[in-house]
Amino acid sequence: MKPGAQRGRSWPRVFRGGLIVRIQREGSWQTITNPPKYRTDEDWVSDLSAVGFRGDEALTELRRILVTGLARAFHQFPADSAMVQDSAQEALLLIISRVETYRGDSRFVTWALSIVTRVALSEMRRARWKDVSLDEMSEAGRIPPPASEASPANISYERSRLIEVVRNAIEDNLTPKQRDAIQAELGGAPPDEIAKRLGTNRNALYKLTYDGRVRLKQAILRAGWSEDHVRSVLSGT
Amino acid sequence: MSERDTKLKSVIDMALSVLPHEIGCDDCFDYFAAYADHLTNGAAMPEPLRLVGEHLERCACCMEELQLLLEAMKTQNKVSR
Ligand SMILES: [Zn+2]
Repeated sequence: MKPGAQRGRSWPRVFRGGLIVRIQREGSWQTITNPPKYRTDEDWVSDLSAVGFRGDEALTELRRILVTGLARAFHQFPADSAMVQDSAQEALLLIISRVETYRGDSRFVTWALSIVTRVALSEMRRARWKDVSLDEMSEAGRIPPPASEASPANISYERSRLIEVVRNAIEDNLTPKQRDAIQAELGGAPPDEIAKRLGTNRNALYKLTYDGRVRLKQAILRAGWSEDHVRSVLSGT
Repeated sequence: MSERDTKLKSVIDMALSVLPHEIGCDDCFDYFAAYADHLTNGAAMPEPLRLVGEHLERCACCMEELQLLLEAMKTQNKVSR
């Protein structure tokens, strides 16, 4: 065999310059030389917990994976490489501190990517909503009355009645916190930002909103509207 | 659809889609990675992951996170053996 020739027909192949593997990227096969070390999920946990070169190497590779994943996930948003780098760094610290909580019911890399995407998205939402108060969020989600200036009056009688039923249900059946939370969500505010302003966390906010949704459903049904009737009026725009 | 119609439809969907047992955003996140792996592998969803799916249908923010995670996962290669 000539020096530098490929040895064997199967993959991976040993070449003079190193190891060549074949990878599948979005449906097509490509070859790459000297790929990063392949790690099983267990390898990731033990390598990241190791001190010295082994731990550093795993950290560097994980950081590369997080940055690459984030850049791809957020490519449709205005490019902000500082946000990608900062989020990757923050997520890396979180992952290291929580590595023992990884249960192994997903691939380790998927678990790590789920953390970094949440960190980045939370940061993006925080920046976008930082100057908006809870009152403004809630106001943005308020449903105007049937014949308000902002909405033309040329809608059906049935639809006007439905709007009034829903408006009354929101006004009369929800606690102020439930009303703010639900209206803020209708206005497009993200739950982590609503939760912060209500001095709570995202799970407790979901419970608050859940109880509000139950009350709204009961109020709509009590007002004599069946689900089918509501749906038929809604679809008849 | 006018802005008011969009809000009206959203709030009615929120109300009428209530299930007796729903999980919250943090519980959903606990199983997020497993859900994304099952989704990309086309594997059948076990019970806790079905609850994640139900939450995602009702929570636009978690759904947005899932879409971004699935996009990020596309950078991961399958190594030929
Ligand atoms: Zn959620």
